[in-house]
Amino acid sequence: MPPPGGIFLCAPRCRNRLARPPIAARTATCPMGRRTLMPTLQAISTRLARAEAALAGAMIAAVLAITGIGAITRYFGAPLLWADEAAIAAMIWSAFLGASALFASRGHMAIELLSERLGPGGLRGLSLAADLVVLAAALGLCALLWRWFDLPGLIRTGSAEALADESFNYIYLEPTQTLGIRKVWIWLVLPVFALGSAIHAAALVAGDLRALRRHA
Amino acid sequence: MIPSFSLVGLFLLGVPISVALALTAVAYIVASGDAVLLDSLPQQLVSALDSYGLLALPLFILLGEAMAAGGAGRRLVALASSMVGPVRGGLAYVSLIANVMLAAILGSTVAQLTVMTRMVVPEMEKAGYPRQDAVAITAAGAMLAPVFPPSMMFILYGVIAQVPIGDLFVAGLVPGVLMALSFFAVIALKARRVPYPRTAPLAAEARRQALIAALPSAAIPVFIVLAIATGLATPTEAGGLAAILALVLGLFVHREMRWRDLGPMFTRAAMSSAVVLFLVAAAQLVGWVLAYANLPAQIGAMLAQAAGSPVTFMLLLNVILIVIGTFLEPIPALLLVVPVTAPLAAQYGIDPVHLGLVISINLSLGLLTPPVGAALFAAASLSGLSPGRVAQGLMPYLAAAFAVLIVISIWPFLL
Amino acid sequence: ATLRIGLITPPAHQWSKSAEALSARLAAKSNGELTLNVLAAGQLGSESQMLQQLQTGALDFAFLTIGEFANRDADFGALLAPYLVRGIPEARRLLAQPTATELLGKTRRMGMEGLGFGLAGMRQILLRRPAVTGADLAGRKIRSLPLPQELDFWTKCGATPTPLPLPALYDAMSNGQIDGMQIDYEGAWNSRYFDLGQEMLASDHMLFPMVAVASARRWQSFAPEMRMLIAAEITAEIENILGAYETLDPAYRGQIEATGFAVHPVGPEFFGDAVNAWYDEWRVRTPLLTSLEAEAGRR
Ligand code: NA
Ligand code: NA
Repeated sequence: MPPPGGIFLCAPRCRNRLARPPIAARTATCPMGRRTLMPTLQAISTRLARAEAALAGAMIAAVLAITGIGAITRYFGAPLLWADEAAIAAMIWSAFLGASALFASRGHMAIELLSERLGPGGLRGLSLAADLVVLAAALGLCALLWRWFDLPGLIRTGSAEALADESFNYIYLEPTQTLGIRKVWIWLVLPVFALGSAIHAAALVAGDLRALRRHA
Repeated sequence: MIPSFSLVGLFLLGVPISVALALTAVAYIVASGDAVLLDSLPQQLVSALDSYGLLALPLFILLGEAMAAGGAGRRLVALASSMVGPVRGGLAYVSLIANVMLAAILGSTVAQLTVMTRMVVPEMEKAGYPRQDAVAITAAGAMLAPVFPPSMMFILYGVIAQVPIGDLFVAGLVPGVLMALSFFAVIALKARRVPYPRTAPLAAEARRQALIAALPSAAIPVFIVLAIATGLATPTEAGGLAAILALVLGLFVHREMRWRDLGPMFTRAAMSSAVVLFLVAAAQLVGWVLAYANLPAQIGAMLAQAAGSPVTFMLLLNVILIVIGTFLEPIPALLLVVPVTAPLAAQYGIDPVHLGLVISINLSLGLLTPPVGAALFAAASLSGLSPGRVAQGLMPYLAAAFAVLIVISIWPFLL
Repeated sequence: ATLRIGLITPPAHQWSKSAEALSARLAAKSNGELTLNVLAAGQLGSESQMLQQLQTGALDFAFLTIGEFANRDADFGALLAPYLVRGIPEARRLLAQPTATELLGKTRRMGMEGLGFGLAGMRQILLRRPAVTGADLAGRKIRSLPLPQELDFWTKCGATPTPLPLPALYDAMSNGQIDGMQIDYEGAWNSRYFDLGQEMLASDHMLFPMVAVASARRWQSFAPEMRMLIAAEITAEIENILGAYETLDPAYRGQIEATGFAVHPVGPEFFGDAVNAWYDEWRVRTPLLTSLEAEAGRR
């Protein structure tokens, strides 16, 4: 039975699998395969990041396959009209899924000017501040997306057309050029990204707070 | 003002650069009172990646991964070093020459850098080169990609400024040769100062073996050239097809890869791409907000006022481009700068091809200048060094490249 | 007030020049009250991105190609009918007729106020290898926009319509990835695409409309006098664009021919049955085409 507020989880070789050394170097190393107590938020973030990374990888494989097939079919005079747009859509999904997962592993590029000059206490404070900024940014994006996707409006008006007529919001009507689907299917990666980033950032903030308390 | 302070402040805090850029765009929107832009912001963020040109990034990262994991990279580098005599820094020169050849095929700095970093850097490190130097040489070589034809930057400039793209391609040859020569000079200096290792001379038999071992792998670069030359594929698609070929070689010919290695490889490539792509998306937000605020026109007016002669115009333009290139990606920067500077340059009697040369080369160098540069971060992410260390190693090459840039700004050498 | 107009065309293109002229006229007519910033060359993003900014009201005006409209409503694509008009003067007359005006009204459902139709040069065909008859086009890859009407025309000609992104076009034409492209004289000359080909078919086979729009959201917020002033100036500038191409088309063609490049005129008969087959199909799919034909005097 997992204790309240936390579950047992086999600590993954986590971060190192997702990204390469500079990232790992900035992250606390996780001992391989050891059973550790991980708070729930942390566990959710880790699992989510792994799923996001795997899906991002699958999308990259799709980019490769679509591009290859697109080039060859065009060469033989039967071009797939949708190949370019589909490859780009897969790349967009991959990029935002990957970008979300990268928050969990602190894999995004940052400038480490101050952090190289601070002691461990200052470093923990700085890390908390930076993670709070990321959390705020992710929540801000969630708010913008709530406005843009306007689900309450869609439910109230009953259809994409009615929503557009009422509020000039055409999100559910925008067509793709060659895919035959609405663009909103591509844009749907944004809420996934924003929510995922918020969860990862919250987990980082919680970790920062724990570290601060431990050393207080 | 407030937005620039917020950018510097966020950088210092250690906030991811992409997030800092996006928040700077938001700060700019709030400060300017154009709150209506916030409603378009999410769509701009995602549409920034809705670009055919960016497909080269994941595809060439995959090519680099596939060549490294499948053993093709190691064999090609072994072949190259077996050809070098016992010169100090021989492998460094080989790497640069390979880059010059690759630049004649590829048109994108990031594409070239990603494939070369994964392939060449580990081998150079094994041969005894400091990793920082190995990355610097590879990244410097990648600066040549948009200068030697074909070139994504020249094509875009040609489309925007309505200049014959073929003329730009021809004009890129002289600066390309000058830059390559200056990089050779830097390597020669460093080879003695560091010093770089001397490649041990190989017996004829060992050389023959290296050649035989590398033959199947040599099919990959040959395939890229043929695919582009015969019209099978665009340079971007050629990268993807070559990655598939490298996977086939790794799985079935060299047998250094197993099927279960594929998943992690795609994930690694996705994460490396995501670092750069998300940064590009965030930087594009800044470009969009600046365009909306009519900053390009203001820069143009400033240039027109300050510049007294064509030469001062060109030098001032270079300074402005360096500033823009520090934080904007070349393509959005090109979109911002060219529409206002091209008509101005015409008033100074500057050849539009000359202008295109200077703008394109300057902005593509910005990919590697700190604090913000997609190629810089790609090199860091793929090599495992911090961006600061990569930038440090790159300094002499960047200095040489900017020296060449100043020279061609004053004397165009147009053929 | 500071207003913004967005365009995808480069600064040297006629549409961009006209936007600059419009900016100057508005400043003069409003005694400097109205500033119109021209954001050319896609500075605010692609046409699809500009359209979204028009819808939210972030962008006030735009000169857009027909592409995004045809993608949302097939009726707009009827304007791309092959040989609907013969040359710019006829195109000009057609765009002033009721059917075009009716089309313009359809932009309101897309969050825009249509202010008028302009155009670019008539479409021609640039080929890597010459074609003596229409049958020579069989199997050739012709770069075209990914619009069903355009794709269908090339398919009916026996060619393979091949959409390619603009940045890939130059490389594709030089290495034979495509065998030709549809383009106007202005584009062929300015980007020197004709350097990469051997023959230009002076087909004048299609008109290429421009749609001048305002953001419906912003338009509603303007005072009636301001709307009248702006509408009048935009109409005047569209007239200038329409007039400009009557001289630009032959002028650019002349410049291309002056280099010794082969430019051969071809009519609808060059394409065999393709033109008639196209009409048979699209009259059914977009009935509005029949009224366009009647107004153009085709039937
Ligand atoms: Na190149
Ligand atoms: Na930079």
